[in-house]
Amino acid sequence: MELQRVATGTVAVEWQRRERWIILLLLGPSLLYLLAMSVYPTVYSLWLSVHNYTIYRPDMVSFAGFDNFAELLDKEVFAQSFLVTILFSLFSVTLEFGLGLALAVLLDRKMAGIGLLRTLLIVPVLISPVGMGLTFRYILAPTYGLLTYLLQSVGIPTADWMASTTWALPAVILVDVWQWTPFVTLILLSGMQSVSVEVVEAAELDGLTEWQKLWHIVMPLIRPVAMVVLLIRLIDSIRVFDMIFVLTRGGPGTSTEVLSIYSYVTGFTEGDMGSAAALAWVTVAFVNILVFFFLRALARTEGS
Amino acid sequence: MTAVNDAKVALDVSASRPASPPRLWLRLGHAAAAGIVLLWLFPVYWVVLTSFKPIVEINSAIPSFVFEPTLENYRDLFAKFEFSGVLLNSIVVTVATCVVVVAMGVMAAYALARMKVPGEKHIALWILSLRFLPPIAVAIPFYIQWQDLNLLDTYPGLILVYVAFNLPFAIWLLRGFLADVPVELEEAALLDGLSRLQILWRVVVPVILPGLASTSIFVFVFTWNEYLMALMLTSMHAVTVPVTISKFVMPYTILWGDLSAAVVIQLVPMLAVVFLLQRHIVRGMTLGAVK
Repeated sequence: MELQRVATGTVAVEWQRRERWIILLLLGPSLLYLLAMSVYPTVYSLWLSVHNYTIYRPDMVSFAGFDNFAELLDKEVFAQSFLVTILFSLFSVTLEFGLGLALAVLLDRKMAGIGLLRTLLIVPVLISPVGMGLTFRYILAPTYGLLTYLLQSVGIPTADWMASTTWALPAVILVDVWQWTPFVTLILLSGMQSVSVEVVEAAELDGLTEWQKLWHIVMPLIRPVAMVVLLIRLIDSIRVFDMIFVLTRGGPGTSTEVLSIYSYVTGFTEGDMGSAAALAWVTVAFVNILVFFFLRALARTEGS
Repeated sequence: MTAVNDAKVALDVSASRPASPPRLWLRLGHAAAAGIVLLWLFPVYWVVLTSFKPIVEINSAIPSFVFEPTLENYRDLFAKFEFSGVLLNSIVVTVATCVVVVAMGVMAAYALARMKVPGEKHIALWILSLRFLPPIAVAIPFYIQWQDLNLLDTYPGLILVYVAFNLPFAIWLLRGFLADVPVELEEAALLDGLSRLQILWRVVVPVILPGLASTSIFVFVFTWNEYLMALMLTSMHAVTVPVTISKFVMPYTILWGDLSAAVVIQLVPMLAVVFLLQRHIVRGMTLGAVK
């Protein structure tokens, strides 16, 4: 790694001095920029969270202490939003992982055209969540939606899915699963492909069935990759905004109002930036706690 | 060489005979794999189809698969909704973000990967942790601050934010690519009397061009698709494609034809990218955890 050993003596001293300047030149701009763009908004948002601040009267700011947080805990909407976020995350990530794994196993084979199938699978990942959400809004629409038509033609009763407090949450979960299952599949597949042919062949010689091979040979080997993809999906599903916002705007009522949408509505629709910032901080804390436990559980199982 | 090949063939034959599942199952597996992938792509197919449908067909209760295709929706999009301006906004913001992020990213990543940076590990982890900050947490401060600085609804206003959002990921990814480059190359260049910066520019950058390309793709896709910040920070002049798409949902009607056409236009440049560089994409999706 070190180029330094090439240089010697006084040259080395001169070299080290120059190296320090070059590090500053190369790394400095990025570090300063990231510090400014993350620390400043973070601190500002912390400051906001303990103040009363409305966008309609930015000149009237007053210190609120922990009122914004206390009010949150009092509100039923907040508890509801928290619950919706957890339900959304839990079901989306579980389904994405389960289906993604099944699909990866199915695609981890030699056959003509398999490369093309894998390439095609990237398309749902690339389409914007806004585009994906609205495409589904069309497919699920009550009068002219394709799914409604198909279900009705085989005699299954349909509903105005997005306007139903029962169906809206399952519907947005469906869309999330549709968009991100291929993502999980592609990553697990790449993990499976790094499992060496020799290991699999040895297992076959030992007479292991397909299931035993998957469970005892492939799964342990792709575990690190599986953990990375789970972590990414978990965090991203808690931050979800775009797709749900274009599908339901959090409605009907608050039945799909996840934390980020609740925070947006509080800040930009109601204009209460202080409460919105407090809410955003609760989300950040929640993500951090989850990631912490996830990583700890990971470290523990890896230790054993 | 032939001996090795023969051994491999022998191994293949002996391995596949005892454990290979019956042919019927294998066929079913193939069919299922193809079927599920095609089913998964159906919504994309449907939106492409819709974008070429006349309005009568779009709002008909019986969805049609066969119809006379029309470019009416696309024409509408550009004629009535000034989509070319929106497209230009998205292109300018995305390209500028890509260029700045990759330039800053490769410099920072090189220092982290190759030079003796004090606290290197902590810096790298801190940079990675920024990837997981919920955008909503920083969105409000940016909105208020940009208002004061007159940056709302401008290109720089968006680009500044997007660079901050993408730089951590880019540095992390490029650092991984740089770690794969054999250091002997640089040692040789150093002995030839090239300076650090000359080495970076003339030796390292040409070698990691694929890495630069795939990093740009990720920055491109993220910026091109980004919605939340664009929604908050723009209103008229700097509106991007995703925001415009969402505006086709109106209080009493949804303009499905124009909306579908816009979704398709948004998808096209990314499809081109995928088919060119699909091999590098998986690595980027996991922040370099998968090679």
